[in-house]
Amino acid sequence: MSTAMDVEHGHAAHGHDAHGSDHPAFVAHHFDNAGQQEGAAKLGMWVFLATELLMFSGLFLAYFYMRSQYPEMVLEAHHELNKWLGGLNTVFLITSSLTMALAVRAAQVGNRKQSSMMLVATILFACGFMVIKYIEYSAKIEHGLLPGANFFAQHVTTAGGEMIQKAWYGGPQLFFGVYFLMTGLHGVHVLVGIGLLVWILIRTNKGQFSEHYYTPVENVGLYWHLVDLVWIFLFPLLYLVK
Amino acid sequence: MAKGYIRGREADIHESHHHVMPIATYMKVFGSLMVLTVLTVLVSEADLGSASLPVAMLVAVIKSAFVIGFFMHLKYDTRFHSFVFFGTLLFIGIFFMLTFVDINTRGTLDNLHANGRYAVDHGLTVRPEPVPHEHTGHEEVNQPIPHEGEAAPAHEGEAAPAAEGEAPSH
Repeated sequence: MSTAMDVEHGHAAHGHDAHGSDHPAFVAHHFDNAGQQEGAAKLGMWVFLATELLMFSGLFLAYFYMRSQYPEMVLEAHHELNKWLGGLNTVFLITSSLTMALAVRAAQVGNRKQSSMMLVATILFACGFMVIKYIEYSAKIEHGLLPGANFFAQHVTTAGGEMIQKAWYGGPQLFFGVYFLMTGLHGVHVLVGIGLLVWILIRTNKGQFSEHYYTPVENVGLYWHLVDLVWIFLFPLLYLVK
Repeated sequence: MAKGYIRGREADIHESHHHVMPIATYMKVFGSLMVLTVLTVLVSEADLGSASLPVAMLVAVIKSAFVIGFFMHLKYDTRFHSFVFFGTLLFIGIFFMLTFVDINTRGTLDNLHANGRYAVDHGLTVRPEPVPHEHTGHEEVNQPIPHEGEAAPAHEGEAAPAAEGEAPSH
């Protein structure tokens, strides 16, 4: 693998040489230099994150609409969620955000070994999140709280001993519809994130990144922090209604 | 050498490469996030009444500010990335605001026009609700006066409908 060599060479040629041989292997042909390439890649990532925020904002608006129209129903239905599991998942995601930030930092200073260790930790926390999500989802589905034809909730009663209704209008099915949509879309993002992290881990272990070129690590990091960011709002809104 | 803008001033683009934060800063941010997570749970346990949702959202906003500013490096990044991010937030704000203005005023309008109870409660005078009419009623009211002279002869040759026949009496 000649990449590492090229990287070193690229850096050596960095200085202030006049004849524009500032083109290491990791800089694509259509960019003048590494800085321009990095700027373009990161701007692209931020614009993508903006579209992600816009997509999630629609679901958040649906949530706030539901909550403003049926506050008692939301309060009643949210007791079905386990706030300790949700809290544990919050801790998992925040910790994985820290390990991700440290992985990017290690890549910045060219510490490949630490970077790959931190990426492994991030992947483990992400998998832990999905395992807990799986436990939560199975319990909800078992209790018949998955909206649709199977929403029966026969053995689930409210605090007052009242049977949970099937109705969409103001009924708990609405809450669980929003719950499954929001956490489901977020969960898909976690799964995609795990895939991206594995990809970055493999590339790191192949030695494709160095202190001169680590933009993919940084951009996957930005994506991963966004996933954390969405959960920071989902947790109090879904699990901690008051 | 390519020039760009970093935090609002012109700079060599290569400078953006190497802003490395000390590990201690990451640890402090992580600690703050954990404390704020505990605070979120405590807020939901405490009896804050109608303030609990705004307080919970405020805590979440502070947590996101930590994640965005430090973990995502936006604080040390080029300002254009901040512009993209806060521009997005602005449009999400417009989206939420207009929707909630609609939702929160819908009932008021319904009451004004449907049964007038809102008006009675507030001592307002409400004009009678317009009753949907058949053709005849409407055209009588809306017939524009200048038309009379021109339109009437043109209609004579054709089969004049009943509504048209009534209009010239004005």
